Amino acid sequence: MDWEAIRLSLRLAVSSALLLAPLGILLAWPLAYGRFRGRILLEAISSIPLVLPPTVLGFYLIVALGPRSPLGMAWEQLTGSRLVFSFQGLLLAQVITNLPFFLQPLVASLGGVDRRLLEVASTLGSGRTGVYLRVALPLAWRGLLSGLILSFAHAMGEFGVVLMVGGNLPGKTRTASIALFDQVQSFDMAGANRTALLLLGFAIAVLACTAWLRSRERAWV
Amino acid sequence: MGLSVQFAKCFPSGPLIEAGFELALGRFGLTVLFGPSGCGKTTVLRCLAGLERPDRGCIRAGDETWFHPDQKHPLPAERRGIGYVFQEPALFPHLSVAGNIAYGLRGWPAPARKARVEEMIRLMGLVEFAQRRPSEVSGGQKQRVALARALAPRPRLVLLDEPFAALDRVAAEALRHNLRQILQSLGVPAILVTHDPQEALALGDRMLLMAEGRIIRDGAPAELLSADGAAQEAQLGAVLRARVTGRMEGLLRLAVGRMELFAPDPGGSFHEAYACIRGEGVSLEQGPHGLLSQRNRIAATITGIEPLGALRRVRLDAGVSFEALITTWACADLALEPGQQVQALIKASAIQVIPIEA
Repeated sequence: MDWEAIRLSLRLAVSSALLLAPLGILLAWPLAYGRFRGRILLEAISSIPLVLPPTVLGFYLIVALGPRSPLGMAWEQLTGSRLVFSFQGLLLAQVITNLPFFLQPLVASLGGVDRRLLEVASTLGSGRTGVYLRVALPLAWRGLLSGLILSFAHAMGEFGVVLMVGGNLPGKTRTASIALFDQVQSFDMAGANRTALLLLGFAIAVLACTAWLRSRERAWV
Repeated sequence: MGLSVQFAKCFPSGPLIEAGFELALGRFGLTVLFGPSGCGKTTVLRCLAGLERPDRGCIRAGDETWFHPDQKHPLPAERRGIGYVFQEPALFPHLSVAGNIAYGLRGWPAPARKARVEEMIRLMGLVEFAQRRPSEVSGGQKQRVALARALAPRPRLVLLDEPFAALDRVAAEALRHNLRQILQSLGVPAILVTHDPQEALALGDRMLLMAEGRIIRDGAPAELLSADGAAQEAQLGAVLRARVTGRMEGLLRLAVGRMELFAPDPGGSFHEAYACIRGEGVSLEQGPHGLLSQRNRIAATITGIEPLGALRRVRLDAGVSFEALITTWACADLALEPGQQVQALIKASAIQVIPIEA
C-alpha cells in the first residue's frame, strides 16, 4: 500500500475542503437568492466541472496556472517556485474542480429555507449578511455538510485533473488514485486491489453519511 | 412624529394596490386595515415594512424617507424599525423561544438584552417555555413568541398581518383578549390586518376600509361598519345595528330596523349588537311560500343588481340595506329586477352577532 499517496490525498482533500467552505458559502448566496442578470451564467460557470471531461478541465488549468500565465508568473515571483506540478497548484485545481460538488447541495438547501424567515430576520434588523449567516446558513446546515462531505470525497478520488495539473511526483502530487493507476500499470494487482478497496470503502462511508443527513426530516427537534 | 403613506403598487397581471393615509407614531393607537380577502391589505403592509417596493408614491416617517421613486434603493426593512407579525408565526426553528425573542436585540448590551427578553417572556406569559424549541410549543404560544420577538426591539410601529388566522378559536380568543392591552402597555402603534368585523370592532381605534385595492373609508370602526353601505362597498355584506328583543334555545331575537331576525347567541348579557349578514347566506324567493328551515324570512325590495364574477349582487332594502349573492342563473330564473318585492331568506347561522358593550 502506498501510504504516502494516501496521506497526500487526505491532505489535499482536507485542504481543498477548508478552502472551498468559505469560497462556496460566499458564492452560494447570489446563486440561491440573487436577482441579478448574470445569475444563470454564474450558475452555469460554477457547474462546468460537473460536465466537462477532466482532461479538458485539466488542460485549461495547466494553461491558466502555467509559468507563462499571469497567475503562474505572479506565483513564481512571489514564491520562487512553479504552480503547476506542485501541491499548491494541485490544491487550486482541486478547489475549482470540486466547487460544484460543494455548491449544489448547499444552494438547494438554501433554496428550501422558508422565505418568510428571511423576511422576518430583515424586519428584526439583520442586513443581508446577517440574514444569511444567522438564519439561512444555520437552516441549510444539511446542505452545507453534504456539500463539504461530497467535495471532500470527490477530492480524495479525483484522477484526471490531478494527473494533468500535478503529474505523478511521489510525495508531491502522486495521490491515491494515481498510485492505483501506477500499480495497475506495473501489474501489482494485489496492491491495486488494496488501494481500490480503501477508496471504495471511503466512498461508501461518505455516501451513507450524506444519505443519513438527507433522511433526517425533522432537523431541529 | 408621523408616518405619511401615499403609494401605488402594481403586480403584473394583478390588481393595482393604492394606499394613502397618515398615522401618528410614538404613542399607542391600533389601526385596523379591514377588507375582504385579496383586496391588497397584505401588500400595503409589505410595502410599509420594506419587503415589497411600491411603483410610485412616497412613504415618510418624520423626516426620514422610506420610499421615494427618485431613490435608487428604498430604505431597507432592517433600518425601518418596524415589527412584523405574519399569519403563520414564522419562528426560527434553530433557536429557542428566548433565542427567537432575543434575535432583534443584537447590538444591545448583554444585561439590557437579557432583561428585555425576560420582560417580554413575562409579558406574553411564556415563562415556562423560554428554553423550548418552537416545535415544542402550541400554535397560540408560537404566535405569542412571534409577537414578543417583533415587540422586543422597541419598534416604532408594529404590523400584524391577520395574526389570529392560523390559530384555533380558543387560542385566537385568548391572544385577541391580550393584544390590545399588551400594545397599549408598551405604547406601540400598530396596524392590524383583518377581514373579521368582530376583531375590527373589538380591537381597533381607527379603521381603514379597503376594497379592490384602495382604501375607501377612514374612521372609527363602529361608525364605519354601521355606516350605510360602507361594509357592502368593502364586499363584507351588511353590518347592522340591532336591539336584542328576546333569547330562546341558543338563539337571539333581534330587532334590526323594522326587521326581526334570529341569530345564534354568542353568550353574555348585552342588549345592543351588530348583526353581520354576508351576502352568501341570503337567498331569495318570489310569491307564496311553504315551510322552510330558515328562521328569517324578510320582505324586501330590490334596489339594485350588479354582476360580481359568476354571481349577481342583489341589493335589498327592508328598512335597512343588505344584500344577497346569488348565481346569474338564479337571477335569470326569478327574473329579478330593481323595484321588485321579494322574500329574503337568511339562515340564522349566517348571521354573526357582535355584542356592543354597554
